[in-house]
Amino acid sequence: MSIQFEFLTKQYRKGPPALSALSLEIPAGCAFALMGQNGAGKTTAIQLLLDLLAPTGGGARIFNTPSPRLRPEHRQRIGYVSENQHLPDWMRVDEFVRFLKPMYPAWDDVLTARLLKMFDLPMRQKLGTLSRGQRMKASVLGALCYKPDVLILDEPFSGLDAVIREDLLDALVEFLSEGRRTLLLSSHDMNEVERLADTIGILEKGGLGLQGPVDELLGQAREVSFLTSASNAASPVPPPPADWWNVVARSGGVTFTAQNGADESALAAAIRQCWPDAHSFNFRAPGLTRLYVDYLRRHDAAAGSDSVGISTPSAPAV
Amino acid sequence: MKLFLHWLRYDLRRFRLMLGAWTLLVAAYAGFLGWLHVNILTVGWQVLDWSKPMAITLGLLELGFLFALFNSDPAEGPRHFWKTRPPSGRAVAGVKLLIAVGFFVAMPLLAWGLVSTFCVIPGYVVTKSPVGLSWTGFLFWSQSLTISAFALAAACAGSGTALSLRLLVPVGTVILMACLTGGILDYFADFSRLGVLLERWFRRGLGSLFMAGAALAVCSFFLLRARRRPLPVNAGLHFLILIPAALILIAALIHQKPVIHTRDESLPSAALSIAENIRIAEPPWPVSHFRGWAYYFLDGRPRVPEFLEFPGVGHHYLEFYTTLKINGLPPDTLVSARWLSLRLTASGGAFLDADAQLSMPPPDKDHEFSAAEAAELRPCPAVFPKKQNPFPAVARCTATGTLRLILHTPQSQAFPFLDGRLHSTRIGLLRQQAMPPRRYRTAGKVPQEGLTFLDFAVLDPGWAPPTTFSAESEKEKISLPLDFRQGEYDTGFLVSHRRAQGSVWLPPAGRAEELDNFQRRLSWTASATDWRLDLKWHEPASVVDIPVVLHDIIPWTGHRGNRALLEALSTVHPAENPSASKVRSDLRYALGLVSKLSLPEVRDQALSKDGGRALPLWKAILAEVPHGQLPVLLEFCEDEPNGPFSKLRLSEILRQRIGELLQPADIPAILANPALAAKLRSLLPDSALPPASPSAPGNPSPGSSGAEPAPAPASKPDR
Repeated sequence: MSIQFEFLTKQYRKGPPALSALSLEIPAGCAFALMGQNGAGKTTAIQLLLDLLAPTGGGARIFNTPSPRLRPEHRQRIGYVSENQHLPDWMRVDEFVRFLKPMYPAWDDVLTARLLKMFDLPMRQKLGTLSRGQRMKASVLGALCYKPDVLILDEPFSGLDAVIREDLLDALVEFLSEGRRTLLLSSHDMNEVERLADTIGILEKGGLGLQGPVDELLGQAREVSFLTSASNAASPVPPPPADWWNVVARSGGVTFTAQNGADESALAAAIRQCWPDAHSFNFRAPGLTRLYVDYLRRHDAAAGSDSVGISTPSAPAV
Repeated sequence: MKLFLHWLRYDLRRFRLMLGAWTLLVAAYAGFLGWLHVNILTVGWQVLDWSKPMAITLGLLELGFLFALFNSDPAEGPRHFWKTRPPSGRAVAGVKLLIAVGFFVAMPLLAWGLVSTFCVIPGYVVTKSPVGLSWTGFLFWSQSLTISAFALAAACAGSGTALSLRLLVPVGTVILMACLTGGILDYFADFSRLGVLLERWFRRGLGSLFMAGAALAVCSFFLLRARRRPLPVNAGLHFLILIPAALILIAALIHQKPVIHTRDESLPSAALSIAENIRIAEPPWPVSHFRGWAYYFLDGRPRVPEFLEFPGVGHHYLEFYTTLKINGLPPDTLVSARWLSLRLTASGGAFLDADAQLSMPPPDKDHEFSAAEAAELRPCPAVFPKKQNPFPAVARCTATGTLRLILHTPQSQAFPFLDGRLHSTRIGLLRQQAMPPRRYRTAGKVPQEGLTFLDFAVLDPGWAPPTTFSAESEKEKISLPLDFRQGEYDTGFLVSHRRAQGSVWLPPAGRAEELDNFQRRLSWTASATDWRLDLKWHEPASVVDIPVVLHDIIPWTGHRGNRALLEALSTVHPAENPSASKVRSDLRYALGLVSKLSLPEVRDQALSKDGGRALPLWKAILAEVPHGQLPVLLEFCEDEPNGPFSKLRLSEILRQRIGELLQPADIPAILANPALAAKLRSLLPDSALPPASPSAPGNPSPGSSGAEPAPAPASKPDR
């Protein structure tokens, strides 16, 4: 197991807990995307994992080694890219490469040359004078060239333009395709997640909510819409089950996402139990974005004037 | 180790400009001091004074450099580059420590060692004593700021919301530094004493276990904070960074006394009994019309030299001397006295107040006493500024004031420098040689052979103000800027002429001296040839303040000249039923007026004419002198034909009165003193005199000694 979170808890001085007993295991070779709203605890979890912060409770492990006991040999196998990470701005790009190389025995000059060519970085320019996109490229370069066994990306592409983002994604995809490497990605960008991750976990209020392989989650879930009488739309009897997310009734129509909706006939029967006059069913597989949004909105009580506002307990992990 | 060295190269490269600039500055400063050391005999003290601000500037730069160094890879915060890279936190912190110690501790020490080794004058040895090092101030800044920077780094790296504490430490450090730099700004004068204490303590503690422990504690704390994962934050932890500063402050408070103890605790109790044994041995007598700063030959006679210039003090001062007699002093106690206050009150109510700052006693070997003897203290002066006029030029008046006796044991005068060493002071050199016991134990005497005058010395041992003596060997110019603002010290500098007899004593100023006096002192310049410097360097071990009332004093505050002289003489009226001591006092007073007057400035013709007007007065005075006071008259019997008494034609009257009083029973005693007998040869009966013999030494005759021609037969006594 490459990465483990064991009841990891982090409580800052003010506010609610950033993390509440987070437990998660990411096996070697897994590309895991940690998703969640702002303030969900994604960055905190990563910083605790890298021993950049001290946990309030629980712990994290990489390579079966507790984070506080990570030694240089371990860090030589970990790549870390963060949008907020400092760089030695006084160095030129070529100096930066020469500076990093002695710290990593597995440094790959061929890969370095290839990435430099791909990123088209100005070698004689200081890091401090680079644009935001170029700095991120340099940061990715500095995390990939020693071929780390674990690559941790914390919001790496936020705020970058589409071209640079594609460059970086291409590089990362190519990197991950070589060998059995573990990826822990924190991102809001569903496109990044879909391209890089094979497993996702959604952090919610400091805890892990929905978790599972992307293909499996999307294969099981259904985006549902149907028509019903306007009088019944907002008051289903009995209430819809907990794995129907973001049930919204508008103008005689109802939409939601069903977590386990692969059996569409069974799903339609379950719908008619709540809305007896339901008709004109439409089932389709949701995109990751729709799944993510409806999951996070499942608790919303007043999404619209006709919203059903069904409170559901935490969804079970798949 | 590989990662450590790699990060070391990284930091050295990152801070190459800063460290390069620091190296150049230290090298430049070392070169400057080395040049000073080599050219110490010729360079002016103004140049040497640059050293201190240069050292302080370096210290301030060092503070900034260290702050930048230690905050470049802080422990706190998750975003720093180093924290996601292989080097451990201890390796990164160790690199900072190594650079700090190497560049900000070892390099200055190395530079100082090189300067001390190679930049010396042949024949001089620079001691490595922790006292009086030229680099002491700089090293003080270097070392203390290193520790402070650790504390700053630890404080600024603190996480959490303890913003006030994080601000408190830098602000406190800045204030502390301001205290230490109190010498820079007069506004911080009150704090500068604390700074002096701290610096003194630092000098002592440079190699002490305490300093090492404090540095270790701070460094350890910093290393702990520099771990990749910071320690759990709690409020109490922040106060750890204040420990070194607190310990330094506590140590400074404990070490109120100088590093080298100059105070003796045994004296205060004895001082009480001593006070009871003090009496005024002689009535006060004014001795001079004070012209600026006087200097004193070792025979106790004040002189105003032609070759000394003391601009600014002016010509409007009057000196007033009191002689004391003290019994029961502890063995080997040195005593000096000064007037804390003295007011002369004339019969009309007019008064003169002495200037306590100018009333400093000169150093005197006669101040030494043994337990058995009752010793007479050298006259201690009180100086009156005449600008307090109106005050009668000549009047009998009453003096009231407080006399302070300052007692010292030899221990209290221990000089801070070692014997036989050349000490490199902050900006100069000082050679110290052992002195004979019981006399000027504290003196730093210039070698008599092989070396010229103490060409330059800056005395700044910490508790006394810095003082500069310099001389150019060719021009023989002595510049003496004195700054005595740090307390009441009975400390003087005795500059003595090596060939001629006598010394110049330059009294220090007092604590409360006004700025204008201080500024004047800066411009003191004494040009002389072949001088020697003796130092009298001590703090008062014990002081006794005695209220004193003196009656029937005749201060002479008139202008110089024959008329003033005659006015003064006219006041020496014999009182009704004069006592022997009164007659003696008046005579001594009159003699003092005459002898202290610059007679060459008085035209002989006018003097003879005006002096003649005083003859009847003197005749009347002497007519009332009884036979019992004959020794007094004999004391003033002058053998110099051009002496003041002779010029005023007083010698003749004096001899006449001696002849009148002389009785046969007195002659054997006079004959027992051949010199006196020679003076009185004309007054003695021929039968009582032995025949003059050219071969008889010690029995001078006009023909053999040539010292004085025989008196004229016309001056035979009128019996």
